[in-house]
Amino acid sequence: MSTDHSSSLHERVYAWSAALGTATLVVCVLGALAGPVQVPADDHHDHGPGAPVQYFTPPAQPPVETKPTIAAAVPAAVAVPVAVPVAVLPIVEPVAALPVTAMPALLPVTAVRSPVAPRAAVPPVADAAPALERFVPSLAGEFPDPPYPRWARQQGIQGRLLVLVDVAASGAVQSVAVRESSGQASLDQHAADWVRLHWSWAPGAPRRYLVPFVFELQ
Amino acid sequence: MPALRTAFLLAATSLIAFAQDSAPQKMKPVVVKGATIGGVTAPAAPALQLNGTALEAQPVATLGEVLADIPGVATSYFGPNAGRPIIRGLDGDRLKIAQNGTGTLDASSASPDHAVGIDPLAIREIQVFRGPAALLYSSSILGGVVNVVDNRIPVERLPRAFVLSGRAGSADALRSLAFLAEGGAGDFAFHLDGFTKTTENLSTPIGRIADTASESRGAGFGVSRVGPSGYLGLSFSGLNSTYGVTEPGIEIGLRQRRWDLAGQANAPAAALKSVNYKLGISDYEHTEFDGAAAGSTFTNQGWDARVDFELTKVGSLEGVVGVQSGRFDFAVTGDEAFLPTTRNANDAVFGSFIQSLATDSRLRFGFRLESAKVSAAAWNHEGLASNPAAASAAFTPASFALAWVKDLDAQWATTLSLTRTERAPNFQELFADGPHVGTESYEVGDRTLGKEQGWGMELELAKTRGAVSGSVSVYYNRFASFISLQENGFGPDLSGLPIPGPNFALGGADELARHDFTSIPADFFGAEARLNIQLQDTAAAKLALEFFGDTVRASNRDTSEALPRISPGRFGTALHGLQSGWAWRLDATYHLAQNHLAVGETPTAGYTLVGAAFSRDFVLGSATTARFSLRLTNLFDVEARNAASFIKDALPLPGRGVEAGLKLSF
Repeated sequence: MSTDHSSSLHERVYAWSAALGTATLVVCVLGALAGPVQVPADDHHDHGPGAPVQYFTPPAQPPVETKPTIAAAVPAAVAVPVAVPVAVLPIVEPVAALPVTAMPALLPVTAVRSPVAPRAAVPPVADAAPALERFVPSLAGEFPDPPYPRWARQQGIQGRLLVLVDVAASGAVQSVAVRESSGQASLDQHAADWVRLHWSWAPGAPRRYLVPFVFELQ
Repeated sequence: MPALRTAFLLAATSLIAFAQDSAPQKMKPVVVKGATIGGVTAPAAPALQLNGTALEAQPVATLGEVLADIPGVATSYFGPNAGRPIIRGLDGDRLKIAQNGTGTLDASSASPDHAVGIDPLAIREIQVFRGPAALLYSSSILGGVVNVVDNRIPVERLPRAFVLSGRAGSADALRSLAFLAEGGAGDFAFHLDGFTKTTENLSTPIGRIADTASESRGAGFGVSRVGPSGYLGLSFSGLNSTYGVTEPGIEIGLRQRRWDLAGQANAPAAALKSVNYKLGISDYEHTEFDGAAAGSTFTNQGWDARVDFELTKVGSLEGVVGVQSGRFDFAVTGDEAFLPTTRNANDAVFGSFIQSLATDSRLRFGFRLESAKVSAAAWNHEGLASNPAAASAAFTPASFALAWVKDLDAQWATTLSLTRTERAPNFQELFADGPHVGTESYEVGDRTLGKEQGWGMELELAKTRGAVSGSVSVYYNRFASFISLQENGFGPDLSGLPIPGPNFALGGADELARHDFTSIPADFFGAEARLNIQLQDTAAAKLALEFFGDTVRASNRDTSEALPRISPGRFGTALHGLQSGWAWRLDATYHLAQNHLAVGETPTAGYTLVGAAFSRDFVLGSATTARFSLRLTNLFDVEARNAASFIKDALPLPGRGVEAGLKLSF
């Protein structure tokens, strides 16, 4: 009996050593191979400092080196859409003097996006902090987040889209249009339907809003 | 030229004027996160989910096989047609399998040769719950809880979809065809699915195994009304299956019909984010045919209902509380009647919470209090010496779980969990008395059994972000009382009885080894690890190297003997990637020999299984896509025996096989 016990003890010691050894090994390998620590993706979508959400059509933006008189630069930039950088890349820091309403994002996407503009020409994001000013501050109204649809989650469907909402004087949604598609018609439809059914603004003048949606799986 | 310029400028100015007139303002981005690996973010989130392409890449034989690749999971493998998952060495009623949140109401926990009442072809998602969230479904959570989702009740508006898929395999001559149609009109969403699957006798390295063919058909229909304030839906589904269980001439004919009702009310009150309710009503029956003659018939008729209240976040506390209630009548008639007819009642109240302690740490905790009652009818069984009178037993299991999650930095997190679990003995453990073909034993229950009780402790370290990700966990589960089937001499001499035939014989005589359900102290300890190194990760090309492994040891603390049918450790490696449209995976897994054996158990040798899989999507039209997949299993035709199987000595794992699949989406 005592031999049984000691052999069992040996086995336990062996098993525990094996388990802890494996654990140590994995931790070491993980540690050795781990890349530099990065800010988690959560923080990227905080809409605060560091928010690089600029997948939708960027505002026409003169290169930083051009003349500082922004007001003059704007029409030129719009008139010559070829000069506009590629949409998906983060753009250079926005100019504070540029009124939000002057965003040329309303232009048809095809007109603004240009395959001619070389990606290399787009300067990297220097300081994203002023990105805050691109978005209107928090509005009065009801804007519940849509759920992640079960079918999309199960099929691994992700995407980013931009929705254009016409708001009536009452604050109710008048119409919703998808301005930039996620590439998945059903996901576009889900977001547009959600805004139509669940969102409402405070009463006021008729307005239009561009709402970016990001559906991402973790 | 100047004219042109003027025109251009004019156009530009008018454009600007238009833009300024009705230019939209940009609102903040709405970021919607879907959890594919949940666990720590929401009080009711699963620790693991298998769906979509990853689920489709799995075999479709049994639920056990679908999950068996996950570290910590084994399958009971009673032939190719019956296999329940076993997690961390815990099986049967200790590992709850739920269907859409309510019980499966089948007979799969009563015997290893009984199939789970849902076929893998009808499954759209499998969720594994661990820790506090598992208490929403079961009081026995040391292995976790498996929830199978069939999507039959739509929970939201559905895009129109029609999917047709077929599979053909060589090792078991699999032929399957399945379809799925979804859509909606106005506020209504519907789902329709169906499948047919046939297999022939299984080919193994020792030859074809007789009596392992199967034929299954199933279908389900569901419709929901979906509105801004929630949904309400109903579904009906059915499964008919006939399958061999490796016993000569024995075939099981299974039939289940199930109604499900589910609904959700969004924000019905200030204190509630949502109220979710579900009801499943099931009529299950299977008959074990010996040739053409019907032998034993098992029936399970019952319902299971639950209401979950998702609470509004108060401060930094989030939670889900709820109640669950179920009844089922379980009966066996015929020559394998080793159980009296029982009525089983279970009522529970539960909760799972997350309390944020700091930005980098949170506490998850949960509870489940149950009231379980098993009432057995008076029993007059031909094989019994006495005729037991009606009896009943009632229990009040209480389980608790606590997990402390600490983010070490942006990439690393560690979780320390402590679990107290109690489980009421089931009808079989209490009242069994008779010959049971599935376990080749004469099973004897114990009406005086108390609750199964145990403590569990686990430490997990996970790296969830970055090119190198993975996790490692070590656990120790200590049962003060573990209900186990222990060998105890031989059953009564049945030779004078008319019914039991040669199938019950063990060692030639009309005697079966007797096994008693006994409460023993038991220890389970083990570890699981997974490591994924992403070598290349662009939209068009991916390459990753993966390592994984698990080990579990289970023994009777009093005698230091091993518990039976525990999977030995295994470790494996896989290389997978995506190149020029092809997704591929090569893997090799080494399973250790099992020499830590229970009394009378035979050892299994170590073996290595090598497999490969390829798949590719094709765009056939504007809305038509096709996915072709090819899977090669056991490439070297190795004779492998699953230590967790009751029939490992008779039946090795499938031999070399190739399986091709085609899925068309319209």
